[in-house]
Amino acid sequence: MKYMEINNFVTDFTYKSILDLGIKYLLGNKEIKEAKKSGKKIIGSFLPPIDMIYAFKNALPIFLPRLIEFEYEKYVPILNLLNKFNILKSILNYYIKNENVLLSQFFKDFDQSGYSRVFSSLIDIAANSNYYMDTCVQTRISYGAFLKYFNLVDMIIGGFEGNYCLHFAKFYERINLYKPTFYFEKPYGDENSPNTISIIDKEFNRFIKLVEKLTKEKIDEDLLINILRIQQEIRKYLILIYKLFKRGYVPLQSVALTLIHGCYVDLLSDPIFCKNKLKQLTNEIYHKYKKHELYNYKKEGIPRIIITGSPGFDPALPSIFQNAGASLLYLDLFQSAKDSKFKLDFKLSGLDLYKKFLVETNYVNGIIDLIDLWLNIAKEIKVDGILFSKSWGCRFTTPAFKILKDRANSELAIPVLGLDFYTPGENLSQAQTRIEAFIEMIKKK
Amino acid sequence: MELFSINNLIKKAVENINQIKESGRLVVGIPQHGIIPDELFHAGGIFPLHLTLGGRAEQEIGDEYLSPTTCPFGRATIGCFDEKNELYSKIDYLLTGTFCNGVQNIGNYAKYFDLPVIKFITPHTTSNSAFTFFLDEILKLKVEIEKITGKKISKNEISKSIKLYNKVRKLLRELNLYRINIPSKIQGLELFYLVHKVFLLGPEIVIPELEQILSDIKDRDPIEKKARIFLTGSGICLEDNFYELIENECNGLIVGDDLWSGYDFYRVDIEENGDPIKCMAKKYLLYNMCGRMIPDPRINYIFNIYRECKAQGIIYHILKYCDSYSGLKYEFKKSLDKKQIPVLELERDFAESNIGQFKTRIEAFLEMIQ
Repeated sequence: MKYMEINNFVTDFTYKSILDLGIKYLLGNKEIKEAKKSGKKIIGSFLPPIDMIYAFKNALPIFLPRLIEFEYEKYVPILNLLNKFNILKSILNYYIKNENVLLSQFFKDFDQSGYSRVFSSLIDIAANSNYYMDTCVQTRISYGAFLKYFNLVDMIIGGFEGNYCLHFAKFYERINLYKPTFYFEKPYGDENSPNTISIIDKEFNRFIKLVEKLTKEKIDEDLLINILRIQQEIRKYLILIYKLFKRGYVPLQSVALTLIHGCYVDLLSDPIFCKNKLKQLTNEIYHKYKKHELYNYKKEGIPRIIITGSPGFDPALPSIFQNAGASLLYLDLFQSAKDSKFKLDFKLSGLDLYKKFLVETNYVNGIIDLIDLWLNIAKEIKVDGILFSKSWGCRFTTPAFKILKDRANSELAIPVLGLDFYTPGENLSQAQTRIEAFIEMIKKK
Repeated sequence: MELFSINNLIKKAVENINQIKESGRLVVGIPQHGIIPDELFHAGGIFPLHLTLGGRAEQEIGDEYLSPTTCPFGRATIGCFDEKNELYSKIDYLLTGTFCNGVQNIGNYAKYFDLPVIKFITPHTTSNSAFTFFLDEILKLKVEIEKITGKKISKNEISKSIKLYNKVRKLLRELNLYRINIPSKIQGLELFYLVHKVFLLGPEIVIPELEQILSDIKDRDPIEKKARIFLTGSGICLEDNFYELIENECNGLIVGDDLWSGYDFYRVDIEENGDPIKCMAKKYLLYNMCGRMIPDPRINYIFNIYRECKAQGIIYHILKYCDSYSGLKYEFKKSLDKKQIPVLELERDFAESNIGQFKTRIEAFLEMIQ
């Protein structure tokens, strides 16, 4: 029973803040439809940054995968209601303490097969629209989502990823054939690269003009500064939570961590709500920590594995790790927050400040930057192993598997498991066997 | 025939590189297909060796480094480094950057082969801001070359190199006319081979040969009537034998192309009046036909070139997992269909196992369009 409490990702949903974030995430489709009806322009994206859209009152950004309607969509209004009256949290607590009750099957479906089926159906939409299928699962799902929710979105902002992944660049070129798409040219370089600073400056101005034309309003620089202030505060909370990972705890499991990553892209149509929920979450976690209710995984001997590689992984993986007696952690955002050099400088205008942010969060060495980030996480939180998600068809991240594996072995002596991933729900038994063997090997060490 | 012997060409390239190195000059390996100012390296006294080898065995070695869904060229290039290929082992520096994922991946593994890297970042668009960025990258590259060689590159030296490369391009264009005209007097394979000679031996060595071919070509017998093919898509590497398959085994004639390994290399000259750096930036960023650009510029050129070379159909060649040509293949083909141009799409890698199947498909296509 104790183990169930320790290593159960459903536990995270007993945090009111996580429940609030989760339900708000699921309400994305409904909220965007309402915003659209009220005359707002909807600007979609697949990856951050997209928060600069909040500097326009007549526009709303949307992380396109947030539009996806899951099979349990019908439960969302009830869950929302139960959550409002704080009943949902009690139900979840009951579930955790009473394993094998009816709710078990519900949660099994909730976290695994439902997701797989929805994602697979989006992939089918892409395939039926002559999308090039010999490529990563992310763009196959994203293209399906784009087509399915085509009418909800007025414009797409893309290209950030295109600067490091040519497939993504071509993906945006294809989307642009059907929907206005801004391709943001943002080549590698940082604050030491004057030509990168210059191009980001010009591209950002070009983008702002386009959104001004679309929304028929001027950008509000105060709102732009405000969003950066909110982001800075969010980073502060992420760093506080990350500190506990560094001390051997797992204050949040992979499902909640993935949710936070998902929320971060568009700040759930409401940056203040998002920031407040992360503040609340930090308080809730530290409250538990101070009451000694958080288990120290290092001391308990439960292996902590970080997930690296291509973004997105099979939704079944967290359960497989949990059943194998390990915890799978997705911490990219937390380490990025910790590494962030960006500081608010009120001498600068909103536009200049945001450009500075874009420059300082840019890649300099592509995938090597990400490998450095993952190895830093591994080192800082002293992980027991690294899982590398080898997304089939990914030409940017997956080819660097050998580099990560060699460096993890030579620099940190940490074992790495590479797991192929083509489509959600496929080859799960094989993945399970390999994960179990990997965890067993780690435990024997 | 000696002229088309790839092995001989590689042997000559090795001898040439040995001589270059003996003279104290450095060699930079360039995996990037085009959009790179060879002239600048030439002016700086560094030999720009285009890495264009791509074979089955090397691709398989590359599989140990890169994932199997990486482009075969990237895998084969890493395979060449791993097996200490005679030519590639002479390289002093590797030019890498963001040309495409294949090139980035090669650069990421440069450390495994103790290769120092020169970074060159290529924007994807041709907007004013992208052009300014590209211009700055060329200036940065100039500084990097000067740092490596310890010698300043003068504008005069750059202009001289531009003239030399323009001359080789002009000669290739003149030869290309003999391929375009009916009856053709030169095969696509021969032009492909000559372009690779420039890549591997440099313009000085190839110019006299091109001049000789041009003075003799009028007396050549016309090539017998064959199905006239336009080749688009991923460029063809040496040791790949794709031209040989179409022209020698299937009896087609490649009368036009838009490949980095072909017409895209010599279609446009660099302007000789004006700031040479700016003129280089214009040619390479604004006038290339490379599918890695956003939007794909081929659509602006292909119909005119296709008509000019009086082709009867298009072979759309995609090197498997090459994003430049695979991502939008459906839309690209649709635009060709609208113009009622017959298209054969061939998606392949350097493995030779399915060559029989490709041969059958090519033969059937040639028969259909003739």
